Amino acid sequence: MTTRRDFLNRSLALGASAFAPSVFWSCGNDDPLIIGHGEYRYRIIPDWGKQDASKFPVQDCHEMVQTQNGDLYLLTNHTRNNILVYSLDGKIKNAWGTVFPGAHGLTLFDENGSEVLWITDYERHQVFKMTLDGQLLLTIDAPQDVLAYKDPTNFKPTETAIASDGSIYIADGYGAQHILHYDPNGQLLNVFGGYGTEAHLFQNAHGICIDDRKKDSPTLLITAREQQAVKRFSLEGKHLETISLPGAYICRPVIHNEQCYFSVLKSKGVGNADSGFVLIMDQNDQVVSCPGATFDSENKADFLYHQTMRVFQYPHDVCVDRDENLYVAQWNSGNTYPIKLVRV
Amino acid sequence: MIWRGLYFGVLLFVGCTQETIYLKPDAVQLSTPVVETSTIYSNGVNKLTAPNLDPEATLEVVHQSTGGRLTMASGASLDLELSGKYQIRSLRPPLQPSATIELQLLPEGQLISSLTWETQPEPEYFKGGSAVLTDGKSEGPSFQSAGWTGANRPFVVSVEMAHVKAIDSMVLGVLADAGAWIFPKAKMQLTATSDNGAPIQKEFMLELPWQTQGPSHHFISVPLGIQAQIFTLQFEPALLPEQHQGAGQPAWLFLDELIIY
Repeated sequence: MTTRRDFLNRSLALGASAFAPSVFWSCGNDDPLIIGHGEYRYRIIPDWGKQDASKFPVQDCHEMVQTQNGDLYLLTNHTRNNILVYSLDGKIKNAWGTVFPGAHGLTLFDENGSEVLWITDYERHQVFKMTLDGQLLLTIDAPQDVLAYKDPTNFKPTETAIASDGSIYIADGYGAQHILHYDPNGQLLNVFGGYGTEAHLFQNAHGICIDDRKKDSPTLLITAREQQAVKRFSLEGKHLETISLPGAYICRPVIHNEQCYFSVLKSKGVGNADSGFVLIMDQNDQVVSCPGATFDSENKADFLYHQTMRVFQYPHDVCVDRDENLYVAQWNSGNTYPIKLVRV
Repeated sequence: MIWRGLYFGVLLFVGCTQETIYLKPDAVQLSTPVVETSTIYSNGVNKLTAPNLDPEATLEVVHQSTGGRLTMASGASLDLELSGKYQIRSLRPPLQPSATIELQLLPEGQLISSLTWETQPEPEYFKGGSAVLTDGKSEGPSFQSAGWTGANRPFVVSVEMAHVKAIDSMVLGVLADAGAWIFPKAKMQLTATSDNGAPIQKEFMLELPWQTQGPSHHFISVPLGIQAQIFTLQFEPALLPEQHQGAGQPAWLFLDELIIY
């Protein structure tokens, strides 16, 4: 099957071959750094998202999504502009949002042809459904009927995942570590998970997504960041399996085509604390590439995923565009803007 | 012909001005290596390893005072024989070398017959017991490791030497980790009885310069100047300095080694 990326690559190669001698010769030929493994290798454009900080400031860049028209939405906890809307060339098309000091999770959902954003705010202890231009559609407060949230400040949501029926899963990754399931109108249906070391419990249930790669049996993938693992649950909340990624503090899972992408906030086994990277798993949950880090080609039992070069500081999310380029948003990384990785 | 030339010129101009700025290898630094040694002593059997060294990288080890330089491939080990400080970094051109880390090897100390942590310890930070203070191993930068033991209130350690000998000095392995409220500053009171039964009491101030960078291991040397077989050391951790967010609260003092010379 020819993908859009294959087509573009072939077109680009054809076009380049016609003009290559003059264009490439005249521009010099310093080889860019290429990171990653196997089929998943990337060049890096560090300044892709860089802006004038006096106009569009960022604090932590938490998450990014791409809408149907190709625009990229970045969520930051800077309350001058919680949302920055980028075009693919890295220019700002729009900016909005001034009321989310704890902006953390950003999820895009196509609701019968109309795209909506879900934003979690762990400082306001709330989850918000928004239009793409910033209109509030629904607010979900702490479920105070649940014992753990009698004090609503215990609710510190980090991520949402929206099922095909519109029901909402909220990961309380900085709070009581529960996963809360709501109907599309915000009525609580189920609570599972919680803090602990057992298989069905979490230490930092940071990110969540619907894994619909098997169309007839979708499941939930939920990261347990402090446990360096991702856990698979049924949509009803039954733990199915744990995929361990030793050393890799994974933030949220992002399904794109048959792959699952993770930003890794930091890693064990290196001397610098800002030791993040990107990790990519295939449909069989096998790691196929770790841009900026080690790769276990020999399937060693004691393997530790860890950063090898300081391309990234603290990656917090990875957004995959239609051409399978990556955009990496980073936490606590000196107010830096997203980095683009161009797949080669 | 002119039009073709102009067309080609435009192509050339567009190609150059819109060139994408990709990151080059020489703009990227290697990650900082973590090294392990079999002991903190330069006793001739000390092996240095770097368990997570990038397979394509080389470890460079330079002895500070002599300038002697050794290199080691990933997966290999090095024998370190000289006391003193070593500067260590990883190399993999054209990437930038990693940050340099420092390793210090010490001469072996006098034989300690027993060392006992007398005060009720904090169980969470006493996983390795008082034995960690004489195991000849330097711990990594994580205070949660079993090789560290610490407290944020006064504690007493008693030491019995194998022989009565002149004790010149003591070296303590300490941890600095401002983020975890660990600050190597404490008052230390030594109490002993001399050969002739006379009491000995001395007070010292242990202190490293305040630093806000990530966790790091250090050695503090204390001149004792006594002759005794048994002595006790009472440590009183200092308060966190005013530039710390917990200013005025007791700091934690973490130790991983106690060596007597």
